[in-house]
Amino acid sequence: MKRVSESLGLPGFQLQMHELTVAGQQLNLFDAPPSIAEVSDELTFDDTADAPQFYVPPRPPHSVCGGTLQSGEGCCCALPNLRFQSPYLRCASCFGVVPLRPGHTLIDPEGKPGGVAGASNKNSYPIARLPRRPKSAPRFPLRGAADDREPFDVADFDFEPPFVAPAEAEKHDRLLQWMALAASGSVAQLASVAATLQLEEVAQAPMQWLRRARMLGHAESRDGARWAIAPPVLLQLSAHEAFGSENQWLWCGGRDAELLQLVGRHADVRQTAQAGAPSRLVLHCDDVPALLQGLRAEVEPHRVPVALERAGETLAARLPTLDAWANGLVEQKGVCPSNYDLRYWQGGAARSRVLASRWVLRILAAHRRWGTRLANTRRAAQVARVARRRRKLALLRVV
Amino acid sequence: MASYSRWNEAVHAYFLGANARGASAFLGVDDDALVLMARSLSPVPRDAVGDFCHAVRQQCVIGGRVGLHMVPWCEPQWTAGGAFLALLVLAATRMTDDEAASGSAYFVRLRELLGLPKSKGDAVRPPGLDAGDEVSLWQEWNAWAQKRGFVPSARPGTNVQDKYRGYAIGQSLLRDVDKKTLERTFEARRFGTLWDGDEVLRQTRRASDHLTTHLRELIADDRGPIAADRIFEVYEAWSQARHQTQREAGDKSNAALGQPNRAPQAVGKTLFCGLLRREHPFTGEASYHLLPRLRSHHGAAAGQLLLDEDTADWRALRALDERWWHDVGPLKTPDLPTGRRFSMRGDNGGDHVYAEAELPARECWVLVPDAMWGNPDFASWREPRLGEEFVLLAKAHLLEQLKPLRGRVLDWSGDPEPLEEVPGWAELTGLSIVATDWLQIELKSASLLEALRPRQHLHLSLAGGVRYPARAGCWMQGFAPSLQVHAVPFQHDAVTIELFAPGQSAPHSFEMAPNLARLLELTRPGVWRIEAQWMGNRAQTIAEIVAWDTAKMTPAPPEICARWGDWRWRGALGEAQPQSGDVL
Repeated sequence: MKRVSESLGLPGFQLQMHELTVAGQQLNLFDAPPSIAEVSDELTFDDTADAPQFYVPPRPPHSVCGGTLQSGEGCCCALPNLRFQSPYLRCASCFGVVPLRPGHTLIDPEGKPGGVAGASNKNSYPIARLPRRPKSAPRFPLRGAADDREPFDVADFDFEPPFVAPAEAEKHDRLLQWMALAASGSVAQLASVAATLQLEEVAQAPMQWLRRARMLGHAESRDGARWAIAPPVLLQLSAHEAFGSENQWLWCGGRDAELLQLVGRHADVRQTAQAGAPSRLVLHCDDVPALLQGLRAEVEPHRVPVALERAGETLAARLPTLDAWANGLVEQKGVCPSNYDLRYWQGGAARSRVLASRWVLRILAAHRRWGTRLANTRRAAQVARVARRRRKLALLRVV
Repeated sequence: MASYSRWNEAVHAYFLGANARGASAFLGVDDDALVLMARSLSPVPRDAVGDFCHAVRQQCVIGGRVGLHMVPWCEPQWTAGGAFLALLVLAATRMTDDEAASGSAYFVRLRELLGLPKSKGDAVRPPGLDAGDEVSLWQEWNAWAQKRGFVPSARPGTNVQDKYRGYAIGQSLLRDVDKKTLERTFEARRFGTLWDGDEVLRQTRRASDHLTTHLRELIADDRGPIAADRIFEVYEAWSQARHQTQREAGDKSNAALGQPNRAPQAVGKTLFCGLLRREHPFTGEASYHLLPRLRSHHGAAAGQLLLDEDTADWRALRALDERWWHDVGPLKTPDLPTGRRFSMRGDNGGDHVYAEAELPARECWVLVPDAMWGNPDFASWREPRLGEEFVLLAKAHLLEQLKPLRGRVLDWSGDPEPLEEVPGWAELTGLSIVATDWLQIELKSASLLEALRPRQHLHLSLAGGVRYPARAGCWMQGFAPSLQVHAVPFQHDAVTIELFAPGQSAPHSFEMAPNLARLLELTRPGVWRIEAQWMGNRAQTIAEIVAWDTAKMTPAPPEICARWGDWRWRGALGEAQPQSGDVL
């Protein structure tokens, strides 16, 4: 029997954890979730069985309605080649989602309660579906040179989209549509609209939602203060991602109801709700050029999507190096690094550790470049200690 | 010679260009307006007024009688009677001040324009146009204006004899006699030659003893903001002529008055700017931005403004709506006390190309919240209204003068905060007007008093909900705003609210307490009109509801993007960055 956390060190798995769903919230590396490491510490699994068997302590009935807690399911990321799934609990009565906490029961890969010998069947609840693998094979095999083009391929997962209440999904879709109507705006406006749409999580942390929208290719932001919707783009899914079909296209960027209605006349639009994010739209269309030609005749040019084939390769070819990216970071006015505890994220968990000197020097160099001089290091350290007591702990994203 | 239909379209287009959505809109036709309208006709008539009157006569007068049934069919987006109503308003602008009290004078002018002989006996109205015949046309006009997002303003006169001609008189702005009166007032009160529109309006209000009755009413009621543009046009022409006269006479009166002795720009060539205050979302630090204000009928073509000469920082201008460009900045705060001129280039004003932009020098800036778009920033959009919170940016000694007014007519939450970069200036936030009895209020600074004095005793505001971001004063279906009636609660009387659904003339009435918010049930898409009446005061506003299914997305500004090396990314779309001339 091993703790799950011990088995999560495989590079393939770690790299996939750009985003995960815990307690119904879609989270990414930069946010402050119950980390995958924390979650995994609550699980144990038996790798001697034919399939991985996960054990967690028993959980009482749902504290809100008393209903039975069932498995939550994985959540899909809309970016190609980034898929993941993660465990949480869902109430069968009220569909409320419950974060994973100690005191719960076991799962098996088929989602059958108590499917493992030695576990208590009465108090068992399936909490996640994870892929079956041959006993002898590594769970997340490292890929050879032949697979270099698709290092994160997890398409052979027994993947199912998460359950998201339709009303909840509609709110996120509305928020994205509102962004498309506005074209650009301030973060304060986004938070205000989210509050009116009763998306409390977004209203309280609009930057978190905005980062998610950026990652999904829906929006861009500048200076942490203003955002803009991205132009509509159809990304062709690879045959492997699309289960052998090459006529599936993922919709990124702005969209409005009328445009989707027009597109729906010529293509099969499949909408999949996602927790904490706008729905994932996949078009099944054999002749996308003809579809776009038809749209050009009916709608304004800026509403016609751009079709991109092999977009991932283009993106990868243009990605900057880590140093180039770090040097291009935008100044955040008013942030004095010595006034804050610096944290960084590793595997989804915040580490309160002194950063590597390389990063500190880089931040300080950037800080000097911005015009503020740290004239006296000793005094700065003293100021930092005082400020740390007074100020709210802030998070400076470094990675 | 243009036909009635062409003139009718021109009248509608002029109306749309002259008024701001969400505000009271007026037809305001006069000789100058007809010259502007004529530019859209092909061929452009030499005598715009004569051509217009002839076109209306040809269509609506037959056999010496007015025949409104002759008004032709027109495109569905216009009303058929627009041009005829414009002629009624034109007749009102021909009246002199003394004639206003006379019941027959208006119809004498109307007969002249219609080419009908003078009346004989008691029949003053033109034959064929019986009392009340034109009301249906005005109602149709109001409905059309409301549908286009304007607060309809055509209403009958208050007196029995004014009942029907009151529609046209109420729609007229500056009459010929008013323009002459204004020029005399500018001369008599020794107006400076380099003032901006707001300053001219304030000084004109101070000189109300010199004005005609019509002008006094004009700048006091809800026609004030739109009349201010016209008054400024008159001022600009006067200012140019005066400077020319002074130069010829070698008069140094400007220098004697402490004003820079430089020539004012040619009429319509200066783009006056307001001020916008924005807080940084992370630090809360306030920055000030230039807010260029469009002139009515000038259009908003793309142009560029030189924000900083040292770094050759040219900023592109983008239109926000019919009256404003998007803000440009941030501004160097030391420019606040002295004002500043900015160079402009490019085709920046449609038919009119601005030579320069100017931030006027002022003693104080009143920055109010944005009621139309719901932006969190404060700006000099308009004058402060009763009950709303605003920001006052002024010289510190002026703020000292306000202390005796605290709790009487004004209230504020914090203390004045000095501006670090501008010595002697301070900012007062959370300020609000709490009373309307300002008659006895006196301040050493007359401009500060004029800037703060409320003009309306009753005011409706809409807040909350989800706004339709592409158009001012619109909300998305299912997320309507809350209504708040701002009034001074002398008594605990409820305010009567009438809610007019789109396309309906019968209102849904209810009562609500002043100064409390109430969520409106605006379920159907379309333009809803809300009217309040309380203790003899009347206020109205509109809210347009847009269905989610019909709302269209708008193009995003390209400057907000991720930049990686030579590439910039907007979502999944990457493109090579322009190497030079990348103006943000």
